[in-house]
Amino acid sequence: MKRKPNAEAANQFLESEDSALIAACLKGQARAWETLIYRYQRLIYSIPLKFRLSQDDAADIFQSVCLKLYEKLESLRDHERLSSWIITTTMRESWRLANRKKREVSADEDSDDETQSKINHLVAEAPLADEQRLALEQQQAVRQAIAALSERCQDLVTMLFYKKDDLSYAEIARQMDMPVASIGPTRARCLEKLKKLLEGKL
Amino acid sequence: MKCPNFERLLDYLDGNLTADEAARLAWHLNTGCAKCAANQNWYQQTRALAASDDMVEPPAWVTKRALRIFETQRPRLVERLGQALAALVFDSLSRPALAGARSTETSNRQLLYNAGDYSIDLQIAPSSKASADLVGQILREGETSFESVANLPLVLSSADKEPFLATTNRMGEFTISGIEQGIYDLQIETPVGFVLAAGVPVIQEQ
Repeated sequence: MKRKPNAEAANQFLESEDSALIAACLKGQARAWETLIYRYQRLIYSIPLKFRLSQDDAADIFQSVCLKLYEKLESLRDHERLSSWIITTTMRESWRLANRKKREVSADEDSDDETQSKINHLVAEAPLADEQRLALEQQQAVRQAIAALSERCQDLVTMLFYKKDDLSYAEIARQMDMPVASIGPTRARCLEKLKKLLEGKL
Repeated sequence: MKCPNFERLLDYLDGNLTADEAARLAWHLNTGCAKCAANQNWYQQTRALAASDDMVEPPAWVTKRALRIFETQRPRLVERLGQALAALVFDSLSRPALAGARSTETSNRQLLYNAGDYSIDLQIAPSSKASADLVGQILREGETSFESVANLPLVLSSADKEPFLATTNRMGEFTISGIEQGIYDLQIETPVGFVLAAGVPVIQEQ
């Protein structure tokens, strides 16, 4: 199975804890910043979309949250759960933008019904519920733990957990270029490692 | 029945066992085995989290733009955190001697400076009539690993003298020997910017 070209190959920071990455960023190591961004890119980008903001808005919020993250690096260095800070900050930014858009359209008497209806669709009445927030944090923890597995385990667990169509062992074996009989034991070994990595995080 | 191994339990949970095998395993789980129940819960929770995970990767240009923040903002960060001026919070010479105390203490002069969460502990020990050694340690509050005080470059300078250059060791300590007595500035390059202890008296008495 081929790795994605933008995957952070040969990156010594891949398995580093967030606090170590932040310390390395403060020391001027660009690779540590890159690792942080790749680690949290899905989380940051997806929250505005959950607020039903557009992809352009999500891109702007992504940049603004990353900028805030950079500016706050020093105070975040001992933060136990960076994902929690990221979720709060991104939700706040999304919430603010969704509300502003809603106000702008309400104030514009000439806006047509279609625009009004689109804007009313924005989930601006309430921020994400606590359960959604917790789920995001846990989903992020699972993704991060998978990213700390060996390349082979990452590929296997990703196919088993994230592919929308259920793949047969034969198909997985074909894609991973390994005997069908090894899938079961390999899966068990990889998941045992994953369980260990997730201890105390779910 | 003994506990099934992890692989077998996963096969059971994924419905990959024969009816007989599955019945035997179900019977074991029904006995209330805590270890197997914990494994079962973990697997089902993790799979459910992955199945409900609809996070999407941003377009490459969005990520690349955020990566550039590092190079564009770093100078500002250094400038903002800039040069923190360390305050002198303790000088052994200005500490009043206790009544009746004999002067048996070390002749070294001790100074303590603070800047943000950094502290600089200095000891000035005379090495001859006109010169002294400076032994110091830099610490960061709340940090036990010495991570952000190790290997920091520092400069001890005075307007009309050749500057002394040194680097902290892995414990944040440093020594500069044979310093001509006088008033110096000590500038330390920390991961969050420069810290300056101005007017350090490398002299025994004022």
